[in-house]
Amino acid sequence: MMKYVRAIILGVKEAFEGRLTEPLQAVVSNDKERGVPVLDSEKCLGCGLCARSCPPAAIKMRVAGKRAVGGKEVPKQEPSFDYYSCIYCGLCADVCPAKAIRMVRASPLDAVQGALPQLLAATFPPQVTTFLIILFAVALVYWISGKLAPRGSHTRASREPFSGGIPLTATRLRYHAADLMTFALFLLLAEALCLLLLLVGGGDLPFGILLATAVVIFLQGLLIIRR
Amino acid sequence: MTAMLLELFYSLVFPGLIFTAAMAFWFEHLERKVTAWVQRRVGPQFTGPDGLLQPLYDFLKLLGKEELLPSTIDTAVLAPSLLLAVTVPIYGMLYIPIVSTAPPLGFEGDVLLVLLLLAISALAVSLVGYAALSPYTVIGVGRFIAQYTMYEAVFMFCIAAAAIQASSLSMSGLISYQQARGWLALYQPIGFVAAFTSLLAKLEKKPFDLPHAKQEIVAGWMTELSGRSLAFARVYEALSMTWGIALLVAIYLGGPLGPGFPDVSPLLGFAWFGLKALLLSILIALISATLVRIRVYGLPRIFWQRVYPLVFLQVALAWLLRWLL
Repeated sequence: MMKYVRAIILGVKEAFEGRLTEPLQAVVSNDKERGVPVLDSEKCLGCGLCARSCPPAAIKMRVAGKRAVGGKEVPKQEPSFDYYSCIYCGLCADVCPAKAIRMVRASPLDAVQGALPQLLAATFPPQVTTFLIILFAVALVYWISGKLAPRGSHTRASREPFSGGIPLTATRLRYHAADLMTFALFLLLAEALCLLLLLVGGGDLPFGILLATAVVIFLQGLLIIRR
Repeated sequence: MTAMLLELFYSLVFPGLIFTAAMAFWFEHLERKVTAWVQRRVGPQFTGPDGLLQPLYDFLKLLGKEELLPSTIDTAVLAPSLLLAVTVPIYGMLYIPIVSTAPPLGFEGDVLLVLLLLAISALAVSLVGYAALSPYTVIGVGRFIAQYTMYEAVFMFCIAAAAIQASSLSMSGLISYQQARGWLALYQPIGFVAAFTSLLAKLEKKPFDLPHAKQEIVAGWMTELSGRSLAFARVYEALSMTWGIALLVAIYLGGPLGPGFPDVSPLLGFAWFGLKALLLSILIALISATLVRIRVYGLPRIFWQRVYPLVFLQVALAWLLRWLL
């Protein structure tokens, strides 16, 4: 009993002592925080030292534009920061030989907010977004019509599947499974041949592979028919 | 920001949702009208000018009705596969060149993506059927898969023949080849006819409407659906008809190409595309209104005995044409 009372008294005492952590705004305004790494791409040499020194590997080198080296145009690389993985240690700014990375005084939350649209834009190509948009619109119509449609009360008989008076048994529901599988095998062989045709036609594969595969597929088809 | 707005415009307005749905409802209206004329009826008349808005009204009416699904249905399979089935044809329209020689989202190798999308839509439909197990849906999906194994390979070989002759794996490459040399349907009439036949089978139109043969298996894979699910399954059929016709027009009939297309106005290309698609849809409607359904055993007989040898011949001819021209 006594130890609980002592624990509570200790808690109350702790509550009135000074804080060990500070609110985020206060940290940003004083000089204790290191800040957010920001790139000045004019100064960047593309050496990649920052990416190699980054402890959580939050820096990736990406190709951005060209630069002239000895009269030749070579692709120039630039670091891109993943602010979700960044631990805001500032090592990249320390190692940068051209001082192209500055630690700007800002809250990490701001950097992450700026990174969010970039992240969304980077992960989804338009082919995926349009599919999702159409799926969402169709699902919306389905859901709204389900909400608007009337709902009556029904007997149990009205919710039985329509079987034309035949009792529902599992054996009746097997529709020529073996024959269907034969058809499916033929389809698979034909589609494999067709894909090869397309790849050869597109110029990605030599013609000999096509002939060899066509012979193999033809023999496979003969085997299926003979079974 | 502009890129985001452009993506929204592509996916929701122009080659995407609204445009594709409008085309789909228009084609459905045409099909109903032509079928009615063949059967000496008048067809839809009252909603909109000459019943033009009747398919849209039917869709909205079905959306507003109560969805009464059987208790054994697997909703976790049904809803996503229905949504996927409706999404894929609309998304596929983004890879069709309509007003310019390059599709809005085209890249090198998008023909392969189109083939993948064809397979995904078939997978979604069979999952819709298998979500509710009853004798009719099972037979419907079984017939659908059997039919799929036949028409899909034919369609792929036709696209492959076209890609081989143009020696390009992208839609824009096919269009620019046709811009230089003339329509591919003139070089590959056999391939065009085979692709058209397999398109009929893909859309489950009359000679090949085995997966939902009305008089035999109620509605096939759609038997257990009602309300919004039935509306989505029906609009999937109309959308996939639009996409299939657009694919044929782009691959074989030169897409937007026509007299005065790039010089006078890009809108003229839109008009040419619409005209070709219109003629193809009327042809499909005429065929499906006049022919009778084949038997189940007639399906492999038609595809494996007649269409496959023709398609292989076409592929060989495409290699020859590629080297000769």
